[in-house]
Amino acid sequence: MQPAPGSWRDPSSRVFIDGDRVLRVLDTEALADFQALVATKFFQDAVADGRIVATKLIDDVPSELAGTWAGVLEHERIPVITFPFEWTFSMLRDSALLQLDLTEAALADGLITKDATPYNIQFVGSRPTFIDLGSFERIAPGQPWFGYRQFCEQFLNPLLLQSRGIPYQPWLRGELRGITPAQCRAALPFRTRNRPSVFVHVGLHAWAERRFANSTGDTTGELRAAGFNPAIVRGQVRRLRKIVQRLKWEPRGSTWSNYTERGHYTDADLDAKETFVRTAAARQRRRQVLDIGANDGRFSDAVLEHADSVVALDADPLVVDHLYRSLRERHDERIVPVCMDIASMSVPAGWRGQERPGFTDRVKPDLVLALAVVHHLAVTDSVPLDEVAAMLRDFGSDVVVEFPTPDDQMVRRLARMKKAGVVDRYTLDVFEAAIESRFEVIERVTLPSATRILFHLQPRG
Amino acid sequence: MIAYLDASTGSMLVAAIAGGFAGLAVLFKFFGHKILGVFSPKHRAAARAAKEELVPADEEQ
Repeated sequence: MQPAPGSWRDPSSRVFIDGDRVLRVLDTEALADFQALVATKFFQDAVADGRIVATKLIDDVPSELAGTWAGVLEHERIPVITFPFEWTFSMLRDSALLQLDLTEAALADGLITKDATPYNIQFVGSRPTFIDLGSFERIAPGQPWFGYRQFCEQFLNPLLLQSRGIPYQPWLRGELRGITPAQCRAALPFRTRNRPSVFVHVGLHAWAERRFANSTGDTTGELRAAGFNPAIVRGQVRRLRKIVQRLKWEPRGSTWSNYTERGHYTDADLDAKETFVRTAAARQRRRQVLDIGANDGRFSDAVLEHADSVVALDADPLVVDHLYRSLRERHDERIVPVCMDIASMSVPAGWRGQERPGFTDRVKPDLVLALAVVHHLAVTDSVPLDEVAAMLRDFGSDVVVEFPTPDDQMVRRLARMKKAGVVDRYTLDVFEAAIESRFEVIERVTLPSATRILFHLQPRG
Repeated sequence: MIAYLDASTGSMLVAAIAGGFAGLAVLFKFFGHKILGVFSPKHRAAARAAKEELVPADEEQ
């Protein structure tokens, strides 16, 4: 059994995936930390309300792990693993607040989080939950919060940049360690970076890192000798929370953020489309549905009664942010909003390309919805229809796909800006040939307005 | 106290400032002898002694 990629940085704990089970092994120190954690009320409360993943110490240890480690924990399995570069501002902000809340609550019981990374948080539907139990340790006298710098690089700085209109997702996708104080300082406008609360964490932080870069002293020991104590860490965490709570991202609107109105659909079309999607989903119980181009989540909702979980994917961060907030308001725990462009999927990243697996390694749907997507890929992104069909086939699952014909008003709008070559190859015949070579057509329906055709497809052999 | 994360000196000092007045007091103590040492040979000696106690001379660059 190999440790799960990305779980080996902290030497005192590892995660192993054993079939459907998620196991965490602990060394003697980490086990003592866990026992101290379990004895606290904050931990029991956080597990009860889902802020920390449900976890138990187990006796039936798989033979491959027995004997080497002091203790083995089993975590409840998270249905869909997503990464911060696939989240939106509100998702990262809620995760940051969860990290700070748990760190502060732990401090009151003599514990602390040893790191502070969004990779320790996962979304169960719209609920952020903390998954790295190995992060809690008993606090030593005079111990600072070692996670502070990581908190700045992976939570605070990305949020600060996004609040000023600079999307952090591409940055975090390219640099897993996050955005350094110096980089953040360089990117932020003068007024933002010199607000007193922000200046300390960004400008002063960047200066201090440079100034003390070659320091060889035992700073932790010196700080302890000077009287550093948990009350200072608590003050630090509370101030960080105030900053994070005040951060807002208020863009003026994006191309798709008012899509709910769906002006280009007639009611009859929408009703027929929803009936088709429901019927296709209902053919069997679905473990996981991937809704590509989910927008306001209407069709993610439509399949929910037949699915355990839905990955609601959209490329527009503002759209996904709206969806997340509405799901969070209704406490949804089965639809996971994900911000990613299907034409530029998350690829494996980090150590040996295994630390953070790619999107298709993590998301294994048994039904894919590709509604109002094909024309964007084929016309806007100039992807040949055969490639679009191949991408859908890659998931190896049932597919419900919508094909707007070249007469469709949206297709005509998108095609206005394109060269004839791209538009000429966008025909129903080409699309049908592309899907029929890879899928069996279970059902095919033309919507009442006659410019949109829906297919329910089953992959061939 | 061994952390698996590399907490830089600069980060830790900024963390103390971010901790409020109590943190600033700690920082003054941390740098106090160095600051007062500019004016007083006594504090200069104390700063040197404190440093040697924490960092053995052969580890210094």
